[in-house]
Amino acid sequence: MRLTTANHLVAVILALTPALALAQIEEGTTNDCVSVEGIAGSVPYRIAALALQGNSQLYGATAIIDEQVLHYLGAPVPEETPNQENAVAFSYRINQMYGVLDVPTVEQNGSCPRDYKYSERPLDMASSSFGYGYQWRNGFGLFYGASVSYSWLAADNAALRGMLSWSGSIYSMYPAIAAPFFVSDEPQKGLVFFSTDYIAGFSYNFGLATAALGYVGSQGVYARLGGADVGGFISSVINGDEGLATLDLSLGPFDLGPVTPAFRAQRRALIAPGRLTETGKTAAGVEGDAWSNATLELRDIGSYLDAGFTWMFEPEMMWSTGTLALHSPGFHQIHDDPHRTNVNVGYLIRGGVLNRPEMRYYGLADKVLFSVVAEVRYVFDGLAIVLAGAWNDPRRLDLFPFAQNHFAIDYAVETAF
Amino acid sequence: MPRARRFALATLAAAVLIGCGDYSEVEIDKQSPTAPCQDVADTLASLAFACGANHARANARYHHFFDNYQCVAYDPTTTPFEELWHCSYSISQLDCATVDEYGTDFDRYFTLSPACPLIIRRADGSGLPGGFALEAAQ
Repeated sequence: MRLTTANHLVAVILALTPALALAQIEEGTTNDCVSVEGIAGSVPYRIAALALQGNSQLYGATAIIDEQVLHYLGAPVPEETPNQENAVAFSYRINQMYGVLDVPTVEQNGSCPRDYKYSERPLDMASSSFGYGYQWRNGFGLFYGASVSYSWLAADNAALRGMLSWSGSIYSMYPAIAAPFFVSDEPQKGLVFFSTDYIAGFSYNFGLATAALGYVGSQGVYARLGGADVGGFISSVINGDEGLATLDLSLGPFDLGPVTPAFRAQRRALIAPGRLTETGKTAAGVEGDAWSNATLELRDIGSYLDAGFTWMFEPEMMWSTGTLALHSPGFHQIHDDPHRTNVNVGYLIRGGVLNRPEMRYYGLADKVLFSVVAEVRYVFDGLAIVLAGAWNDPRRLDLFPFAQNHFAIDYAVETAF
Repeated sequence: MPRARRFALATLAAAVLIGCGDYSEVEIDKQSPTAPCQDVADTLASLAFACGANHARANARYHHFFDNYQCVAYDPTTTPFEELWHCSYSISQLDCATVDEYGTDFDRYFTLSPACPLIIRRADGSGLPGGFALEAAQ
């Protein structure tokens, strides 16, 4: 792999950014509410536990294998090199979510100004996940993915808040590798959660399709069938106790000339807030209902424009999301196949309107939300670096339906060769 | 200038903006005086959902609460506010068999904690029996 001076510069800048932010912390705070605790028993408190022990655990490791690693391993073999090489796919993601929900808190040691003794404090989350797949020239492959997620109540100081996200993201790289040894069904206490998950399995590339079978540490069986020519896949995670945990279907993109349609549908368990034990622990609730929708996206309209529409089937039948995106030409090629794209840098900005159903069990009224997503992808030598910032990203709200009005930052490195 | 270098410079500019930005304090909202009561209504819905009720039935529990009860506002600066959350905490501890038995007879839920009568009234304005002696607690 060839690294240019510019590549090194980008790496150094990205590494220094949190340090620059840390320098701002010295400015201090006036609230000094340093000893706040979530009020146990409140619905947001119980959802906070749910966010990590249910949603994040399920969608961390599995998603990176499902959407990235097996996507690359199942890509069509170029005609000029027909199946002569072993294939490798690697993906690493850091995700930070600010303000997943507001948790009622009480300040314990009395240093907090009276007005802020009882506050609604944002809960932040961060996760690191990586996936690795190797496919031999005979089509047989192995894959492994792992994720670490954690959450905490936001600090009063914005710079400190960002630093906590960064620190956790960086340090969670290491336990992610050994995630199988940390996976636990034991509920955790308090609002600082730490959870891990992993997925391991094998795949076989038949040429026209790639089949994969695996095991998800927190859930159970994982199965996926991907088609090389249709560019899509169908996959599912099956929980031994409660049946289908997720079902994902993706078709396309299909190059039809003036537009490139892509279709995806999903069905996910809507995890219920758990109940608290005497010691303040949270036990995951049983599945009560599902979240399912289908999205049609028309990409590359005039090379620059995407339009998307999502219809929700469960828990209510309703229009769910409408989006419009402007992007640089070739932006989608970077994800579809970073090794063979002929562009180096891609930009996208997407705006949308989201229609959310009433979910009182999450403490949420029905409402219309606005969404903005900005993304930059940079490719060199088949290695793609992705930076994204999002306010109410529709796809993340599919994974965390209760996380309305949150801000998320994603960093990802992906490659396949 | 090569594209890669332009990208590096753009990243540098973004990093400087992030690193040298104005890091004011995070906006922390005060709790609403009716927050403990609102949470009781949400808890009734979430408990029903956790015990197998579907989306619609769980939402219906919430609306049933406000059809028959109303929230009482307390001044959080002068009352032991955290004790008022004991109402939703107590309800959240129920097992599903009890939730099935109680159904929408919410009066039975509200006998679980002496905090409930302090934050909940019936829709006609009459109070629930019981409650903390708030003056003594202060």
